[in-house]
Amino acid sequence: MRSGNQVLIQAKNLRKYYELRRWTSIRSSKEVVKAVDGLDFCIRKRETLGLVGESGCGKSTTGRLLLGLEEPTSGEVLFEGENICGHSREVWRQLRREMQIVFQDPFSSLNPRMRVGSTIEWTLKNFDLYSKEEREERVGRLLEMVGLEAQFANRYPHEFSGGQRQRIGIARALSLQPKFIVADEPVSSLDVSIQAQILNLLRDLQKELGLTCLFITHDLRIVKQMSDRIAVMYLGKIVELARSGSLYQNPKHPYTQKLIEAVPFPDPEIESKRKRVLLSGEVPSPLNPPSGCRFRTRCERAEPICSEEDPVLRDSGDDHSVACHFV
Amino acid sequence: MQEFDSNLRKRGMMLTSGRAYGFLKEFLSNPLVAMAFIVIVLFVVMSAAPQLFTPHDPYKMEPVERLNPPGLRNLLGTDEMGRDLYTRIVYGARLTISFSVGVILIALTIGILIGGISGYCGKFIDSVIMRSTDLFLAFPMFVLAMAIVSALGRSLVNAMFALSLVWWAQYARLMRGQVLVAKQELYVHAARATGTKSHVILFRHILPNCFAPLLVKATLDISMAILLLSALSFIGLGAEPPIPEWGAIITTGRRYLIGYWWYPTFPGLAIFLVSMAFNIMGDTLGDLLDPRRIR
Repeated sequence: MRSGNQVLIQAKNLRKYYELRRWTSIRSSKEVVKAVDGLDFCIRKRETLGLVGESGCGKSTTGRLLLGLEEPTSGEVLFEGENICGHSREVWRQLRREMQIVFQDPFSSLNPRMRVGSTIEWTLKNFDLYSKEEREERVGRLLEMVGLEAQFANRYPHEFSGGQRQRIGIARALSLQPKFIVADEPVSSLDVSIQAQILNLLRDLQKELGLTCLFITHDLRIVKQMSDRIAVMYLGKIVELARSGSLYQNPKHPYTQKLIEAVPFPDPEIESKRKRVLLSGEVPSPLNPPSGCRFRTRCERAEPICSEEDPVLRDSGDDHSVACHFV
Repeated sequence: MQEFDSNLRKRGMMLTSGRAYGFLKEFLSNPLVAMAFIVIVLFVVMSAAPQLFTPHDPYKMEPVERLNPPGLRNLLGTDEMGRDLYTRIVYGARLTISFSVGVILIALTIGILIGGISGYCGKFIDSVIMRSTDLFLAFPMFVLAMAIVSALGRSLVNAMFALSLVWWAQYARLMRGQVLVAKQELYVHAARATGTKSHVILFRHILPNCFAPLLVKATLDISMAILLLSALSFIGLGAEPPIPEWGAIITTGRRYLIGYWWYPTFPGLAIFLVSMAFNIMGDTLGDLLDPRRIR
């Protein structure tokens, strides 16, 4: 799937902190949530990077940062080699043609008072593309491309099922023919039977249109079939980044190992014989993350060094990077 | 066209040309709502063309005919000056309905503008505006309206302005809340992500999703406005005596309640009927404006 190793989008030491103001007695105290804390990764052209992690680890924020829907606290996002952070609104608006997002919740991502056709048409109208007839024709073709009928353009969102709405969301994202798409948990609010359909659709479209994709999910089974490479996030940091085959066969970070162990095996006989040591405890609060390695509070291999030094993401060869002192 | 299945075509028609018709049909399927609708239409027609409903003049005094009981000549009796009560109520409909709708329209407009700005801008502007609405909301509405009218001078127009001046804060509050909710909706983020300009987001995505509760409240409030306007007239701060405003008729009529029951009763009944009708309409409107009902 990779044609050349050209990088399309790159995050450089990307951080996003949220300040929370708490009113205790008369004074307010500031607390900082480090949602995303120093990310370095790149996505190559025509590649799908899977981003997995527990809820609240900063996956969605990462996606939104790449798309400029949030302003990073520090760090850079390079799109085709150019820093795109801190641009004016209008520049960003123009950049939207290159990068789009598919949202998690298909029920609230469509305006209930707009026909789905005009929802999609507006994305084209925003950039004054094509004539009215051409736009309408394009909307029809987009709807057909995502497996719906062109006439559905005249209907309102409430007339569709969740899966259909997600298809509409995909059509909207593709309408501007972007190069890069962030799929933010696109199937996690759908029925399992529908999930497969939407995933196949996304995959086919990606191949057909040569899209580069950031696929955000918490579901390890899905990310394996969707992505070329996978990044595992824990509390705002990437702990492991590798090609999906090598991540599954040879997970190096203790957190990744636990995650993969936790996935049930399809064969019940093997499943019942498997011995699993599951992750214990909760994710620590990002308000007050542990010192050093953030995973140390739940890690069985933790040693004194882990609380003193923050492990950096190091390439351990063969395109496989891990942030752990013992790898 | 042949590809269209009949169901889709039916829907398409409902959505375009026949949408208002379908809306009305559904609206009137409930007998209570139908009755309320008829009452409102009747009174609106009455206020548009009162001379069609009565041969008499609302101001013409006939001392010989004073305080006649309801009968063939005077359907609802006459007052102490011999004026036909039915005629006065018919002519009063125009005043009462247009002025109370006026109260609400003015308050609604101010409220939508101020509340919209407050919710959309947020931050400092929001705090300033909301604190000033608090000021209005903290004061007993009717007392404030009374104070304003007596400062401006007694007249129906002043009463209308006074009421809208104390009323807008409620709409501003509601509007602000609606805008705040709509602003956070995922489809607004989606619109932003597809490069939609801010004014398009405001007018296409945020505002259309804010109005339903405001319209419902406005319709419900019309009945309240009729009551308050009549009440202002009743205590002598609204319409002046010869004007056939319903509240004003009751004010003079109340002295004749014993012995001449029809005099204050019928204008009171008119107020009751119209405000009830608007109330029912408001309730129904709430259900109908739900976007999921658009079929």
